[in-house]
Amino acid sequence: MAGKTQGGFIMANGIFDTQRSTSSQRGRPCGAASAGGTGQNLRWIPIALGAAAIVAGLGGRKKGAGALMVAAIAGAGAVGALRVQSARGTASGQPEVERSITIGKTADELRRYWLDPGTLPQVMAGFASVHATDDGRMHWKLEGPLGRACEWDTETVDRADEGIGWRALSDGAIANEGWIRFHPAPAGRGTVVTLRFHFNPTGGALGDWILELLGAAPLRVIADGALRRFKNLVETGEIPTTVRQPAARADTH
Amino acid sequence: MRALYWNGVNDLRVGTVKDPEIVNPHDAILRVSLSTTCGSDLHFIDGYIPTMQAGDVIGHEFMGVIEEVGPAVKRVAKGDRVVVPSFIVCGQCWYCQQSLYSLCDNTHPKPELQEPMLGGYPTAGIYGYTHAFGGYAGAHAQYVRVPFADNDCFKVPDGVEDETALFLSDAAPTGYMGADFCNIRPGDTVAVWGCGGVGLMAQQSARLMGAERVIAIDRFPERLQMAREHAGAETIDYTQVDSVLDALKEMTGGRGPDACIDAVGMEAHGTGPQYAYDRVKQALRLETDRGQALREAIMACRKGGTLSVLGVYGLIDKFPMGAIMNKGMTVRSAQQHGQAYMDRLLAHAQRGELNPAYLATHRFSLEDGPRGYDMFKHKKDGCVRAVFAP
Repeated sequence: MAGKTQGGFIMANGIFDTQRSTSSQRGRPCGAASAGGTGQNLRWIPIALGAAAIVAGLGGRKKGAGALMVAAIAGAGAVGALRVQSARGTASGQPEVERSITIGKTADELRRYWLDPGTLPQVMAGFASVHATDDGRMHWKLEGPLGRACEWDTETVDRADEGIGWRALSDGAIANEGWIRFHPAPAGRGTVVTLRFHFNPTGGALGDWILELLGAAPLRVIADGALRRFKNLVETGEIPTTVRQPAARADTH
Repeated sequence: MRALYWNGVNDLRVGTVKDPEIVNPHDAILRVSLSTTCGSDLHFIDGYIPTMQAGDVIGHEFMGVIEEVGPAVKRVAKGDRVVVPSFIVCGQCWYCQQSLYSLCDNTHPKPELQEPMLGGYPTAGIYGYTHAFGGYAGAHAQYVRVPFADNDCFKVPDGVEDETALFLSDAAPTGYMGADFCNIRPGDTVAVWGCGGVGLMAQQSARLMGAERVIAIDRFPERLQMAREHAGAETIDYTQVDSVLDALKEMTGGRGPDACIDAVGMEAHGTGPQYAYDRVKQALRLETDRGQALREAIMACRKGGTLSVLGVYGLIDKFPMGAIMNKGMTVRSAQQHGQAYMDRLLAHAQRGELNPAYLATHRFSLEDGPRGYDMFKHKKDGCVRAVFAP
């Protein structure tokens, strides 16, 4: 992570290491391209958001030195995560993440679940709204602050032994791709499922903006959440939730 | 419906909220018959535990009658009188298959709030507690949504009264598990710190599992009396002896208790990143005697004995690891794996071998919930547990 953003989006490493590289901004711009400003030190985004999340989590009470210290630790952890991502990225330092979970199903079962067009919308629900389109592609919509939204389409690439990948189509504004792979876990513990996400905002106002969107939920959190929801769904048939439950709050009436 | 909710620190209220509804296919809606207070509630009430939100409906120990079930529910049905363990479990994941139910992988909707405190491995969700423990609506209400009803609702046999079944939700399975951890053998002496609901249940369970002697440690005369009366325990009032360690050593012929159960805890529920070290230090200063109980249990235990920790902790310093290591102790601990014990507990209750109804020292309507918690918190009038009927 260079810490600064400049230029537009590029599509770098293709799925399954297909090298592709362009440096120009692709597709239609998303939302308010001027938001975010330039030269922002991205390392502070997770710290600020981590602090905000933790202070919010404290319910507005007793925001003492302890909370700030924990926020700082969380922020430092997030910075560490970004540095790891950076170290694993290509020379241009694209944000990417690879995370794993173990699920109590066979690889074949998991492959079928993942390819079911009804799965991705549920699994990605914490990150973006996704739906299958008539031509077999997936349409993604990422809601941003102030009503701004980013939309793009992806195609799915199924390679039996290598896993299942997807990549944004070239007319999309967000260079986004990923894959999911399945390997047996030891002694009947199911299957290790590894998910890789790769976003490639290379900067400028637009890059700042997308990182601002993603910064609210760092890639690692997005990947963990998607894997967890996938596990919840395939192991139990549902994803745990507290939506629409009673509480003495205006937003629940 | 009417419900008891947390409005802020030391501010519980009763109000009208919307009814719960079936959200997921394995859900049931329970009409609550009885619910009760738990010591672990006091710490978010007192404001020591963050991730509560004003308006949260609280309560995690309850029983009732099923009112409605989701389309995937097979084993229980409308009209069943059931008890529900406090932790919500899926019954499908690896942890559930190992009977480590409170570690279920699939019932925490907000694990990112809890993972930092637990190294990245969240627990199951729980009713009516902090959002770091899932933020599910609680059971001090007329109705409560129970996810995974087939795994989490246990039919109460005829002849087992509501007030008995109520405590099979949390106090009894927690205490029973704590005794189970001790791997009790003939002739064993089990010492139990704490004579609240969980401690008393641990003492009775230890007797049921064959302990020769149970020694109960507390400071409230009425609770020590309960330990003698219901668990056949010998008792130590720790305010009346110079050294609990010496007393235990002398009572056990110089051998020390074979197993020590901590049913006190710091009550510092280890949830979320909020437990910065200095806050825990603050909690320790406020509640020194509670950290003391765990350390005392470690020091008092015989060589090669078992420490069973039921009290809830966040971070603790000055933990005598050297005693654990050099005495070759076994340490067991967990939030309650209630689903693993429910069949046995219901059978004990049906045979009259374990009847926890005596814990219900004070009864209130749900409308009087805040007063009930006040009596429970301050142990007024010998209150062990306040029970609410909606």
